[in-house]
Amino acid sequence: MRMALVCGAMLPGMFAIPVAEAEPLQASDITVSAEPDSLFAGERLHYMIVVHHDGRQPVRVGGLEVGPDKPFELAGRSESSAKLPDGSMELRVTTDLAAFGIGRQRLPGFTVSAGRDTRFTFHPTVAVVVASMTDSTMTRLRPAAPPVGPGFLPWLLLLPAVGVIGLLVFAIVHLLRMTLLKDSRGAFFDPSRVARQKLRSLDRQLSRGLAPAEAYETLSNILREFLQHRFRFRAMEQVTQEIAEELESREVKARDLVLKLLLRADFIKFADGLPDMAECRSSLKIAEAFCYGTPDQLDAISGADDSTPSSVTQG
Amino acid sequence: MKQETELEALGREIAGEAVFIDRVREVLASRIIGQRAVVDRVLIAMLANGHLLLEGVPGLAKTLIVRTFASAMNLSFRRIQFTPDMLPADLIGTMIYNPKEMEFYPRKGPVFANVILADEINRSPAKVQSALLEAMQEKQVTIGEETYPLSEPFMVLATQNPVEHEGTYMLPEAQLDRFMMKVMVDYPSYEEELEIMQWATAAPSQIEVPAVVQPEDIFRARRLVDRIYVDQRVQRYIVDLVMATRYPDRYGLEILAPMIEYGASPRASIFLLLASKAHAFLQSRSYATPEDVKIIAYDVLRHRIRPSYEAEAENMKAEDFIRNILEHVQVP
Repeated sequence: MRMALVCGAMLPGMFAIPVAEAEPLQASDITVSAEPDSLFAGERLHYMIVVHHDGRQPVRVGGLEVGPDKPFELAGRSESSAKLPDGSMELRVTTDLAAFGIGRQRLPGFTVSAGRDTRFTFHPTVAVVVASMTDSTMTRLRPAAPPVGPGFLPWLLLLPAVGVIGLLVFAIVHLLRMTLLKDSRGAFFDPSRVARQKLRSLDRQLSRGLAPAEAYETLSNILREFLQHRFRFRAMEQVTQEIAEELESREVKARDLVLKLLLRADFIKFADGLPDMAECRSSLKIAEAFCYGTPDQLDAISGADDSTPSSVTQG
Repeated sequence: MKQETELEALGREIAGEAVFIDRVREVLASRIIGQRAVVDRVLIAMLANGHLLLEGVPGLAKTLIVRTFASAMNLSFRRIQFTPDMLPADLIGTMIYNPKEMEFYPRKGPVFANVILADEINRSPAKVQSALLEAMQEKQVTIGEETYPLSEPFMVLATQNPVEHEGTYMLPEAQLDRFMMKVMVDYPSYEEELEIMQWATAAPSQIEVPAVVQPEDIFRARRLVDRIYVDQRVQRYIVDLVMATRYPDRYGLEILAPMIEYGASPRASIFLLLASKAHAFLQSRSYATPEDVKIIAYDVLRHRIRPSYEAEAENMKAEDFIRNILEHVQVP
């Protein structure tokens, strides 16, 4: 697609009209070329102007129609002059132009002057196509080429590293989460809530046919577990009398109620006592109120002390 | 319901029979100030048909307790002071030659009594100790070629002085094992000491103790003790405690494993069960609970656990192990 554009003697009609009187220098002596013929906005265009003359008068190229308000902006310029084999001279002006105008853009015009009196304004008719790359309204000088991303290989090396880092981060986060959860479980372990859940589960088991005697044994364990966690003494390894002393020393509210339940459970466990279902459910309610009840509820139950199982006949 | 009714009936029966326990306690309390625990252990041993080893410094009323107890129970009592030159014949008796009739006849020794106080049993050599311990085990002695049963009830209360060790013969573990309990007789409290001092200086030195119980009461009580119900859970708890003295690591007591040279024997389990039943009887209960087991565990186990050299270096005693075990073995 890219090709050099050549114009000059082959396209005389396209040249501008000389502004001065007839001089030995003519429009056909000027040749322009540009490469490439299509580019993205911001890319550089290599624009070359060649002027042939006899060398008797100094020749200059100026007035290049570039700038912030034009489709092209000058990024670099160099010029050189050489004597040709036939004795004539050649002025070669090479410019680097940054293209900004979008669409088909004619190459910028320029002025050629020879001596003091001869002056040409030259407007090439050849155009290049500038494609929009990013922002079409941008007119300031930009990098010559769009930034090139890293190749495939660096990405390939980067991926395992990212994976390892990700794994490490995941492991650290997981550990932190576990530690925090563990701490929070320890800190927020609520013996009352746990006891209530267990008592309700026991109630459901009773409904499904669990024997009341077995329920009493479980009830005794739930109560002792609750006392152990709530009041921080080794209730699971203590007999009822020791538990009574512990509760007495701590002045636990409604302790007589719970001791009655424990004594009753002892009788059922160790003397093969046979409680009925109603008594068992009543004991469950008392135990739940003791473990999870408000002070008012505890008072109410303490007031109704007579309704608690009292068949501890052998104590 | 049947089982409960039977136990309730037994409970009523026990409550009726156990009245004599209160009478004995009252009589003992009239002569002995404090030492309630020792008195209870003596009663338990009597009800469970066991023997006691009492350990305590001199002057703590050990002899007085035993003598008063025997009098209150209307039992014959003999105190035998064990000495290094004592012979088995001095204890069990011997054959005496009667020149008039030209024949030997047996002369029974002091062991032929209901209650024997073997004072400072560790002062006699092993031969004499063995003679007594065989009598305790077999409930009979052989003099010459004749075997004589010992009178029932028969109970030996042996004392050891923990302070003096010079010139003593420590009881071998196998013989210690035959004592149901080893009871530590401790100093009285400040108030008790004050009362003892006032009582000893004001009252006449000898006061006759009335016999408030007959041997038949004891036999009936023993039969009731035999019928006391011990649930499987309580039995398992007893075995757990004894096993924990042998394999503490199985019960989360790894720290004790190197401290115990050997643990309690199966006799410990048997005596724990019997003593628990007797303790339940003292409480007028027809069934034993873990509470009964815990209360007598120290006395039944303390002479059956041998601390290792490492434990002795750490100044750890059998009581420390028992306390740890009781605190870690879950109660049913």
